[in-house]
Amino acid sequence: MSMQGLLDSGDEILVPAPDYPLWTAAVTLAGGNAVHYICDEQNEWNPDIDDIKKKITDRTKGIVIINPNNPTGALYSEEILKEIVEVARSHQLIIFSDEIYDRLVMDSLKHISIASLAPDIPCITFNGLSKSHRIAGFRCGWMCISGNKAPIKDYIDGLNLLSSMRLCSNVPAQEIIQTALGGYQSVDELLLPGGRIYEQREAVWSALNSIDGVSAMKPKAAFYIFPKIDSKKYNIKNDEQMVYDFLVSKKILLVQGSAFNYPTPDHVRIVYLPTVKQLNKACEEFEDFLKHYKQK
Amino acid sequence: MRKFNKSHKLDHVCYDIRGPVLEKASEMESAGTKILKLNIGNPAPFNFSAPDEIIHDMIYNLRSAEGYSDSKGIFSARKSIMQYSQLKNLPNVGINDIYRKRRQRAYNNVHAGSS
Repeated sequence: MSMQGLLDSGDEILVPAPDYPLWTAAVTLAGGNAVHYICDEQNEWNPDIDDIKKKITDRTKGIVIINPNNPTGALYSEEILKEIVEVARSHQLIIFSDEIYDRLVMDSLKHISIASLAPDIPCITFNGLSKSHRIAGFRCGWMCISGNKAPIKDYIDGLNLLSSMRLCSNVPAQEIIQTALGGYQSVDELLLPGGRIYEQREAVWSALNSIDGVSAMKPKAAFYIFPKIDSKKYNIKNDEQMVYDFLVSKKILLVQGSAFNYPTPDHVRIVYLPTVKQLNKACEEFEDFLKHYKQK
Repeated sequence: MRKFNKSHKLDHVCYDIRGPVLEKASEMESAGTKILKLNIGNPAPFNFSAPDEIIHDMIYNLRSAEGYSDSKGIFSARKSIMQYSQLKNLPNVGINDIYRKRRQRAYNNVHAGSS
């Protein structure tokens, strides 16, 4: 809806690579062009500010950030966010911030909403209860406009039109938002040492990094890890083929990096929601698979 | 009869999380193979359940949730989101700046639960 209401044919939106691919798909479906900026694995998967600047044209209307990040597990610092705000400010862009994982942050780190640093810029922040309250099937999400609304008055009219065309979102899921956002947050204990998400992250991270030719940044939030696979060593030219072969051989389903619009065929995304035991087994299987794998 | 093709709007729309690999997985499952699915961020199948309070409150309110709501969402939900936004220091957020949303319809219908 945020893209349908904004984009004319040929308009551009900056989207991260890797991204959560629904962003690219939504921009494209709305008639726009998703222009991908690189998030730098060497720099904890932070957005490459120079690359962002290089990709801005006179058709660029906005920039999408995913923070905390899916698929990398990165959490952006205040410094990085301020740099992005500065770019948006100087090029007059709308900021779209996907923050669905903001309550799934580990290691006593704190999530900062980019909108809080940009009172003079139109920002749209996206959130929901799918992950923090484990109710992905209830479809409970929202978006929130903040900052400077004067320049987007007409766009807001468009959003109101689109919103009314959908009649309303499902009401039972709306009834629990008040309950969910106030008071005790049950997700917190999952994220502390001893909690399932924390322990599963530790397990998958160390198991992956112990595999020859595989390396991964430790995720700071959410429940995804995006390891790099030495594509020279394993002669991987097509990452989709690799996950296909892994599925057939080991009965484990991953998603290839290129599905997240990542430009090189040398990553996979692994969801670390299963138990430590299952994850360790899956990593052993992955190691065994790679040992014997060489793409033709 | 004439053929009906998908719209050209979809020509360059790509959602590869659901692609040939997933098709193969479905085929293997149909043949009785058990597959460990590390492909989507869906907490429920891995025994992450919703807090009891959430389920209780949804049941409690179900009767009053039968009708349409305001298209932007019900008051209590938007008020709570507004307050949450305040706690996170979002500037200049009023109750009318909150939109309860459904994601892209196509996504909802075809790709339910995958992210």
